[in-house]
Amino acid sequence: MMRTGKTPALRVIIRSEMIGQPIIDRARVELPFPIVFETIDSLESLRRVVQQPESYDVYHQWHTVDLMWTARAIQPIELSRLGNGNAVLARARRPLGNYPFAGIFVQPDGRLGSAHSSHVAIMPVAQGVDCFGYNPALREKIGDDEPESWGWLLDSRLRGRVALLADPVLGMIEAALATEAAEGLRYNNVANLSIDEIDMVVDGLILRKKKGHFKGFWSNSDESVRLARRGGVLIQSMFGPTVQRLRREGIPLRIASAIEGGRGWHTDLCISRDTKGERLDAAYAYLDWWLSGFPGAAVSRQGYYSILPETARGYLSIDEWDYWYGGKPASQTLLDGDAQPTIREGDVRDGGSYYERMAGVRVWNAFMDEHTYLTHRWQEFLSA
Amino acid sequence: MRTKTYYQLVRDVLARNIETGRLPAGTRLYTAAVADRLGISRPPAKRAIEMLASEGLLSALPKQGYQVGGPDIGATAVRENLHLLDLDLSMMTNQSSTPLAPRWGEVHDRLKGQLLNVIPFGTYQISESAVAETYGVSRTVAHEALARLDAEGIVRKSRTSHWTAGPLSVRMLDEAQEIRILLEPAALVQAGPDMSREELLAIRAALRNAAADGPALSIPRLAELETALHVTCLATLKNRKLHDLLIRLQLDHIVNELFRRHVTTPDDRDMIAEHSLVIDHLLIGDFTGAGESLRYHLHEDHQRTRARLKVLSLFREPQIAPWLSPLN
Repeated sequence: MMRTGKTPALRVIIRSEMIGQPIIDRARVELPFPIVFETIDSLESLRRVVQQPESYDVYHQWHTVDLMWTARAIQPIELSRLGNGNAVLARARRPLGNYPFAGIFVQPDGRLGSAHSSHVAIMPVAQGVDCFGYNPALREKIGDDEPESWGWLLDSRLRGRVALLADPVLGMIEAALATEAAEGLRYNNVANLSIDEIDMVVDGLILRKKKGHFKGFWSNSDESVRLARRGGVLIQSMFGPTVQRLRREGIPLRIASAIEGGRGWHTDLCISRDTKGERLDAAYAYLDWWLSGFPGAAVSRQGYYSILPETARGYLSIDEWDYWYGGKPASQTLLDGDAQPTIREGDVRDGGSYYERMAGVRVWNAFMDEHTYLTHRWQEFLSA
Repeated sequence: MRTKTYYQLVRDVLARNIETGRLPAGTRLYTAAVADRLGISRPPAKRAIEMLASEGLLSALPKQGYQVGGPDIGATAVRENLHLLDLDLSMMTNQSSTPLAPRWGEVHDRLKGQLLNVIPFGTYQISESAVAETYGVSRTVAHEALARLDAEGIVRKSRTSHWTAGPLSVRMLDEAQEIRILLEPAALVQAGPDMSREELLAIRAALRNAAADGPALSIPRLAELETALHVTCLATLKNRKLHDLLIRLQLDHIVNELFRRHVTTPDDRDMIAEHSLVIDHLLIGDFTGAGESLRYHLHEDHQRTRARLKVLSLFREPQIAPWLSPLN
């Protein structure tokens, strides 16, 4: 255990694409206790959280609340202990855009549900929507008039110029959206595919892979950037930080707003079941800090949205707010999440305003019931 | 695992009966008659007889067949109706309906136990020759055991003709549980009136102790309660086909045990309360109510099991048998 003075350090597990250095630096300055950040990007983080709840205090999770609750790895968060607890509840009551709050309230029988209560299993702090990115040169093959569609990822006109994410959890959702658009396949629930549906999607992927349809697969931002840089890849799945890196390098890039809608996600904080005493106080303070404005503004510059946009707004300039949330042209050069002047005057965010973009969510990230089967078939695809 | 082969067991049974005099010296033995008397096929009978002859316990007759004892025994060999002899065949009988479960039966049970404990974690290829080697049986026996598991939906042949198993999907659990929810309550309604009150009282006492001891049960304790409700309570069922089917469909306990071993011990209060509801209905003689309570329990337990299987999907199995290799 790391100690500074008498205060035990708060141990926080993060994901790299979620938390940039500015947030880490600021947390260390603003919070009155030491914090040890540990970055784990793979499913390894979730295994740690589930099997060793004693080894962390706060975990930045996404789309796995049901697993952690089943494993009893986390403890209920008392909303009244948070300064912004009421603001969060008010936000959760709004019928539009309250998806991140679905199924996170602790019910009297100890299960999770959507009926509001005094405790939540996780605290949503940010959300966003992802779609694929493409080089405008792609239009030479597709034509100027075709609307942006997930089907492009499987379009034979783009053979050899496509890259996908290697991660089975998110990769499968995007592949399912692409198959739906390209082949008219229909799912009972695209966020929870059945074995037969997984087979239909993966069989199609393997067939295309053998024809040389896919140029590559990426596991992190570096690999994604390399694929775009080499010039061979015209279209690929993409996360926010990669977009900003590519733009900084001057590589032409558009983020699609597919007519089918995008893949929505939210990221949330949760507290280990074993955290107590001073550390628990620190954990609540850390959660409060996340809802207080600065981190919300910082993730906004990464292209995400604070779960409480109004608190983030106080930490953004009017120009920044108008660009990131308003969908308006930048009235001057703006800094991105890594404090680099990536956004030039006149740039407009792909997909428009906060409301337009979040209204375009077709499916939210999900850890599917048939995960073991899905992983097995996905690996078969990657090694085909 | 039984180390003896099938024909060795037959040999031992015959040798024991010769030793005790139940199979008297001079008795003529023919393969077909011995097989018929023991209720087995001819090849093991033939092999056992040849073995005994090579050991000198039997001797070959000039034309055909054998007699008990050496060639020089005084008695004139008589052809007996072996069914009139009071032979001791206890070594051959076990719980199974046949005098001796076929050789593949035991291999089948071993394979099934091991497979069910790894398939929640992924997909595996099974080497038929390694199965044969591990259990000291022929390829034919290994194949037969795997073929039976194929019929039960636990293994399958891949397109490349390899045996594969797994993963234990939510669909497998859903399908098994759907059949159980349809049939097990009805079976309990039938079996209920024949259950002994003492047994039910003992189960209720075990449930009360479990409830008093705290919300989390150890693996053996959980197994005891599950067996009481889902095996003991069905034991008096007259329709044995239904009984065997219901026992075979019980996959949930595997997930629940693995969850405890690899993740955490869950709060079992709901489960204990649901079990108690069933037992209490049986004790007051409301068998329909017991059936309904069981239906509710099976449904609730399924939701819990499904959620636990999902957590297990994060992990890889800690160790696997030498005849298994992970795929992807």
